[in-house]
Amino acid sequence: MNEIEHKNRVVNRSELVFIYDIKDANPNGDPMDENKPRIDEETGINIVTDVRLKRTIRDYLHNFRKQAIFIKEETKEEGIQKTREERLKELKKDGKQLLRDYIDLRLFGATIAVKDMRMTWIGPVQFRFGRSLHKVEPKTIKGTTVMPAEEKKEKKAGTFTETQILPYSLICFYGIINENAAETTNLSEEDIDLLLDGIWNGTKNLITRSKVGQIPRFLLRVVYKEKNYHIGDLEKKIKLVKLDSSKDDKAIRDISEIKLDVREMINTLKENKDRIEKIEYEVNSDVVFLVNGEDVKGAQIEDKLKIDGIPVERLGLETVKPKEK
Amino acid sequence: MQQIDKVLVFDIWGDFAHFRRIETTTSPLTYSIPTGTALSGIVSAILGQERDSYYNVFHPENVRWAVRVLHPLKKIRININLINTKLGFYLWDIIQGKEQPRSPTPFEFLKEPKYRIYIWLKDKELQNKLKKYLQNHQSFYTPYLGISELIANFNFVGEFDNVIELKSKNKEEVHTVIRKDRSTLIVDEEGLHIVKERIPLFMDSNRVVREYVDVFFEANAKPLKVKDTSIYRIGNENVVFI
Repeated sequence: MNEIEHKNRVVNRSELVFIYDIKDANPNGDPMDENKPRIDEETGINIVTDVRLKRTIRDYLHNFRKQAIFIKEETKEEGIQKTREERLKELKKDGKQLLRDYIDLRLFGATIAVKDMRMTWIGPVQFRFGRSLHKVEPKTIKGTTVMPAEEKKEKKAGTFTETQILPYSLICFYGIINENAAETTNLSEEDIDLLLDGIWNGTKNLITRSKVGQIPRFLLRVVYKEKNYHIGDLEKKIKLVKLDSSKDDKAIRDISEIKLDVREMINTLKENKDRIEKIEYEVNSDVVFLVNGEDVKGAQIEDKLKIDGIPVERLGLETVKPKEK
Repeated sequence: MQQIDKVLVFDIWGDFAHFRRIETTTSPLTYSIPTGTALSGIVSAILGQERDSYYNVFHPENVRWAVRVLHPLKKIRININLINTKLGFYLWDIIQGKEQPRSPTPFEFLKEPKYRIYIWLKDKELQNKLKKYLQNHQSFYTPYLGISELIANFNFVGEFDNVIELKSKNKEEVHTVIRKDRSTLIVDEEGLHIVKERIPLFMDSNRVVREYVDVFFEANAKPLKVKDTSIYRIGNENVVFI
């Protein structure tokens, strides 16, 4: 606990809300259901697991921010791949060393169990499953896949495939950064900067075939000054409003067809203003908020978040130009 | 058993819950209600008790608790990728083209669960601390419903200090989950969906469950009728401790 990197340890609790959308793609396939989008059949709500979001963040921090990631998939990158034995040797490091080396352990914790050691850290950062703010309807796309099979004479022959996508889904994630668990993993404010960068730009830069067309829309971090306190369920206070109210939820195809009603959220923040240290946010310019019947476009939301002098800061993630290493 | 004096009452809810049934391994199923062991975890998270430090506090001699189902119980299956430990314990064992240690596993979740919890702790200092935390809507660690991504929210209902034990021999309506071995259930109306579950009551310091009990509850959050049961009047509710 004596290193310089612990200087800015997280000492405040935060609540996070993150909204993004996806077009004609699949935000999170179900491995046991032909990789179809996850949908609660009863409500029509699209579900995205927290594991998916954490994977997005880890991949981004590894590929674009050169962070060492503990839980990562080893692909066949020659020279980089570590054998299991090498990784196990690393485990001979003590817990402190592992926490110092891997940002994902500091953020999300882990349970590590090998023969003679067992370590559990509660992750200071936890997310709920993401849920769409409207009903969705999957669409089946037919296509052909040509597998580059070796030695095959007829290269033109492809296989017919069926893939399910969502024409549109506006997904909302909710998370908490717990300051007490942060102490056990030595989580720093610099780690949080990277986390927020990963949430925003990881979502934007996730360019696998199934996830092209993801756009981060709104990110909010409410930092509390009162110890052990957070409002709770902040994401439930944001409601989707359709411009054309007669339109079916399932027919929504674009962010321009909806507004985000944040009146309840702003009112709740007002009620809690004495407990809030600061508010950080990022927003995409195409988002239209609805505050007490008034349209507020993109970064103009800042004025509404400035409640009785609570400092509000735009994170500037929208303008970051990440370079792949 | 000591006299029950003050009882703390709070509501807890979330998007999903998973109180894992211990006997299920390949596709984890959930109990319908927070069990004694789950509840001790939730309360300890709020209080900031370190893991493995709180078993004695929740020994049946030191705690009385009850739970009321507030939302109709609905379940959903969500498939989650686990790591098959036979092929490798870590994600670095996932090497493309080889047999995958990933093992998609169907998890059963409760959907939009909401419960009312009634709790009496023998340790008065701890009960007062819990009251303070609940009153101020504070929690030391982030409380969750079974697994950490199932973040919970809660609301303090109140502390009730005139807890009266009803000594009636007659049929009475109760609002909470009841214990099979300490109640006689009366079913005299139609349309009730009565569920019986065998739940773990408490764990010892080796995380071994020491006692299981059979409980009854109504899946659509309706009250049940019982007789010959020790019922406590708490606020406007008839409560049976587990």
